[in-house]
Amino acid sequence: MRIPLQLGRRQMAVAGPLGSHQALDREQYIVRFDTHQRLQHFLMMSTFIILLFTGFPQRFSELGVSQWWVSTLGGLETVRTIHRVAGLVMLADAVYHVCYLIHRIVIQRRLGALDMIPKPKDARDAYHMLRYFLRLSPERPKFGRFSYLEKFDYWAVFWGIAVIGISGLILFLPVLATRFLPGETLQVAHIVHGDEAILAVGWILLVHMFNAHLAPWVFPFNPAIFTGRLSRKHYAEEHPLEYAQLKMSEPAVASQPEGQPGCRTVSETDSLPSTMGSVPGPEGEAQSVEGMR
Amino acid sequence: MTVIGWSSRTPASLAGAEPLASAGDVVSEGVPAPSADGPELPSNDFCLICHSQPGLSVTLSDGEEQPLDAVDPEALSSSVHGELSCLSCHPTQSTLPHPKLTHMGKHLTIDTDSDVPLCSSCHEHEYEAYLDSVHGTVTKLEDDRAPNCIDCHTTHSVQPVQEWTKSDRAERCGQCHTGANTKFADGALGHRAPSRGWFTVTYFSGQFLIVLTAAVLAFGILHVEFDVLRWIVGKVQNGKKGSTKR
Repeated sequence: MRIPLQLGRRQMAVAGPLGSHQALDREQYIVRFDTHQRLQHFLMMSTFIILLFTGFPQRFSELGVSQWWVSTLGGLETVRTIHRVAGLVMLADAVYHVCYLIHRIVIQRRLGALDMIPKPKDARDAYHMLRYFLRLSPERPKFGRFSYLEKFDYWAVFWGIAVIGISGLILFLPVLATRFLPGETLQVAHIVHGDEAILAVGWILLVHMFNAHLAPWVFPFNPAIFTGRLSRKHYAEEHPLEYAQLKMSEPAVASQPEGQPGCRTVSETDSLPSTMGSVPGPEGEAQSVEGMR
Repeated sequence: MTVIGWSSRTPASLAGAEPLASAGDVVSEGVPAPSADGPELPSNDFCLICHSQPGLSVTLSDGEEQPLDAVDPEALSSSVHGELSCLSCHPTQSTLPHPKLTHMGKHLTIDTDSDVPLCSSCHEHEYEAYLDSVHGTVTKLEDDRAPNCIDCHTTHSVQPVQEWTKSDRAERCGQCHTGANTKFADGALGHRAPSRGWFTVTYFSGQFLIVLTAAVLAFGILHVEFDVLRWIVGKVQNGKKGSTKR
């Protein structure tokens, strides 16, 4: 019988059937993101950076550095072309993501993605986190698959892509847009496109980059969204409620292959619903996407 | 006829010539207000003897030949600038032979080194508003396709904007934006910033975005700060025995 893992910042003893020393030596991981999600994030990240560097000189055209940067890139027409192509790729990525969700939820009947929908627990978690920050509570709130901050991050991007994407299309094709929409739409699009971009870039640089890179507990880099995998230890710390559910559906440790150095995952089990696909492990074998409900 | 303009500023003396008329002055057609010190300056009729003719060109000081548009005397006199002397805007050309122009600036600078168009000397507010517009962005980033004042307003036949019809505007936009309709033309801000009474939806969209940005970034930054501070406090309390993870 497993001794439950001790969770929380101050509780460091890690007990398990293999003994704490061995459990920490042999890093175990859980797959958290599938290939589609990793690709979607990569496309979002790349196009975001390109759009930022081709869009901000236009938003802040009065600055000398903007004028210098545009001429360095080959003139305004080149900058606009790059910006529009990247924007269309980002919109395509958004469509890809929505289609992926529809396929996963409606066709595959895997409802894990619905965890992203905000619930009253998220408000309670935010309140408890505030109490924790103010040292009115000794423990952080326990999160499921997505914390309130991750949900905020996701829906903020959802909103941002909608606003920036639609206004960007209007600015790209203003003659077509005004065949159906009133002329003031062009001015609204111009304002919201640039200002929402400022919001998005501000959030990504100041908050997302912190949580993903600069936070002392992930520095230099949280690779989960790129590799798709998160160590069991981190999983238990960051998403204890989901981790507890996953543990309940794990097979016994004895059934795992012996003598596997380095990372291992929990092997496939029939008790899970059908998976999206599998991610090759370091040994080259296909291993279950256990974290994917 | 009193000259009515958007600005009450005096036409600038770009090359040091005396201002010849002020907006609001009643000026007889073509006759500038005489300068107290200088010689009598030519009337518009005099300039138009040559400049109403097509086919003129000017050789710049670097040898480049620049064609000149003919000025239609009737269009000029019926325009909003009809009461102004030619020299109000072209002060360096008061003598014959005309002094050499060094360049014809794309912003209608006409023999000045200024990057600021001639028109802005009287219409400064409109020019500032133009710079904030999408067309202004193109100008500031030095794309030659940017429309300048005369692309929309013409040179010597400027009409009051209130007299433009919707189809006039659409046609003007359509010179660059092929297929533009009247709704497209309605999207032009008209050199005025959005306000509660002008492009109201635009104005409140901008205000909303400001509030949203401030609120969201404030939340995010505070969350990050508290997170780090709480982690530091935890580390201090736990000492080296504490986890490096949260």
